[in-house]
Amino acid sequence: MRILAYLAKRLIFVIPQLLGIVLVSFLLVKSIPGDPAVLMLGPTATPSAIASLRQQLGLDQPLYVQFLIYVRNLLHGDLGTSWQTTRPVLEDLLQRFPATLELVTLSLLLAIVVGVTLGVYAARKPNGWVARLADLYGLSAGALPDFWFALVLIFIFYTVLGWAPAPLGRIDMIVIPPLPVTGALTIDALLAGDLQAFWSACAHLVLPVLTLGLLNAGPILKMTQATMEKMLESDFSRFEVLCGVPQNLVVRHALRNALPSIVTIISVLYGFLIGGAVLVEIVFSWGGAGQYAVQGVLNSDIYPVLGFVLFSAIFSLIVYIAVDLIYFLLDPRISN
Amino acid sequence: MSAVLTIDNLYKRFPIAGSKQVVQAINGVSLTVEPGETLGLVGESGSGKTTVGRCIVGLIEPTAGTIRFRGTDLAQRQQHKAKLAGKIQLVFQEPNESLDPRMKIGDTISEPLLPLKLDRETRRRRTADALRLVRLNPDLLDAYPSELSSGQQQRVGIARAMVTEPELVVLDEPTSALDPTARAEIIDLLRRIQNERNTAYLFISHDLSTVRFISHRVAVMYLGMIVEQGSAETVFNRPQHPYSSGLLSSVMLPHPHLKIESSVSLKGEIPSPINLPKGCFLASRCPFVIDRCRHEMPPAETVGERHTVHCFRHEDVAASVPASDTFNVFMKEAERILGRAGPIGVAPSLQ
Repeated sequence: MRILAYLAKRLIFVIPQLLGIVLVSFLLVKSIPGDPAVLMLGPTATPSAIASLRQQLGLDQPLYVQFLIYVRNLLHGDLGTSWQTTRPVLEDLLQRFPATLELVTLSLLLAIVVGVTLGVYAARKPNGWVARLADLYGLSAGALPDFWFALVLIFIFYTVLGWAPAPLGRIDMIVIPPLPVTGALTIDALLAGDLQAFWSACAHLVLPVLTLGLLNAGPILKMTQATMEKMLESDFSRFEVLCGVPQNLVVRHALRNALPSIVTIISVLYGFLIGGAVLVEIVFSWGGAGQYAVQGVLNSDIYPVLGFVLFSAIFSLIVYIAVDLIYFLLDPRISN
Repeated sequence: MSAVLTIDNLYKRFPIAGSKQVVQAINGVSLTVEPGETLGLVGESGSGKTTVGRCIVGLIEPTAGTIRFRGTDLAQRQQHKAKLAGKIQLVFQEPNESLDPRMKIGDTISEPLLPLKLDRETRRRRTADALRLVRLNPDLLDAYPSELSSGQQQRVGIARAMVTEPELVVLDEPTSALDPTARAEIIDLLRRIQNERNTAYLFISHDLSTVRFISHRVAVMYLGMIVEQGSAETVFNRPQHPYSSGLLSSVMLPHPHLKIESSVSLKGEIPSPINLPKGCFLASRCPFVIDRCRHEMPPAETVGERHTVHCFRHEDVAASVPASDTFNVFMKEAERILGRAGPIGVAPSLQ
């Protein structure tokens, strides 16, 4: 019951939060130099053609009028049209956002498995070889650029060994993609019962997921290691040790106390990766949302950018609300 | 009478990372604790009191020397696991940090029973007994530590130590994080438990008035050595080591009429435990210093029944300080207030 009341209180704040995010990103995107009308018509356009297009796009209106029009359209589910793809932004994003989400979610799961496992083992013996390996890993994961690591993986597993498929999209070109339901190819393929498409999608996921997963395991590893070491050195763990409580139980109790910090870093990474995976998306021609937004920024195509910001904001808000609910389950002190 | 705990010539050195130097935390500590007895271990912070306690419970491996529990050498703790299980317990200084914030009070108290391989019914009964022993409300079994006051948290800390029915409990400054009321309650509680169960205590503290109140015997530590050890009454009323005397003169008893007279005032700071001076560790600060002190470590001299002191001039020290019964008066007054024997106010002896 307390959780429901809390949830209701959180959801009330979502609307003004989103409005604020839209306002700030609208002003920021508008302040990017470059006139879309000029870019759309090309170098041979006459000044009068540009002026009439500006009028048509509403670019001659004052900024606040443009903003109000944008918000009014938003309320009708209209996120504008991209002049590059000439399709409604909503349609583009519904197709691309799940691609990014699928990639990022799987990568994060890999990062959690690697980071938490290694972190817990490193903390158990702070001077052992696992701890030294973990230090080296944390340092390398923080130092290696993800696109470079992706290129190395492509070179080894595609060019040299030939094990991985070509880094050209999410599925083999000769395979017919499954009917989009969720937008995540693996899930849609399973829903359609199309195993060929499923395996093809999985094969294409391996290298980008390895890239993002292994590199983003670094911060999770560091956080797990540091928090677990602190918990295992605390008096309550020492007391368990001197009483002869089995070590795996001591570690489990310490992990239970370390989880809130670990969940926090995971949620931050999740929100960050939606846009932060863009370089890896480009390397693998993923066609994800980040790539779409960057194209928009480079070409003064503002509606895709605003649409991406809006989608990411909603996604982050959902993640943070979910994390707050997890805190409730993890920590009895908050729920009281 | 066979001692519960016998420590013989204990040493502990901690290596300093990235250096060949070592911290000489304990330098030849010997002591005994009898059944049902409280030995107060006092000294400034950094004197090695806590390290001694941690060596006894097995959280730290000593560098040299033996610790025996009822004749069993604790260096072979692993071989005698079954015999020792739950027999030596520890209560921490910070009640808040020593309890798992995610564990319910009931589970916290019964957790030390897990390695004892008892059946569920016995565990439940022992937990209930421990709870009654520390006078905690059984409603709190389902609460989490954060819902309790520090005094209640420390009662939980004591209950989980007592649940295994230990013969020796190391109390590492169990009252220094508490307010005066909670402190008095915890001390009173510890004394009642000792009367009921005949548990021996090693009571580590820098709070001398509390130590005087709860201890039968006292060991005064300075730079990892016990400089004087004897019955609480003798050591407090007639200290024979300059350091004991100096330490006692710094005590403020909680009553304006109670004043401690001492001619000993120690100069300077405690030397670094990394480079210990040759000879007596106190030589540089001691008003009684003679040339011999700077070259030679004074051996333990027995000056009374179970009373030893490391000082060449202990007779002069004893003679210089008038025997005082201030602490006895304090004891009586404290007993009177705690026992509610009379109206709270100034006792006739203080007027």
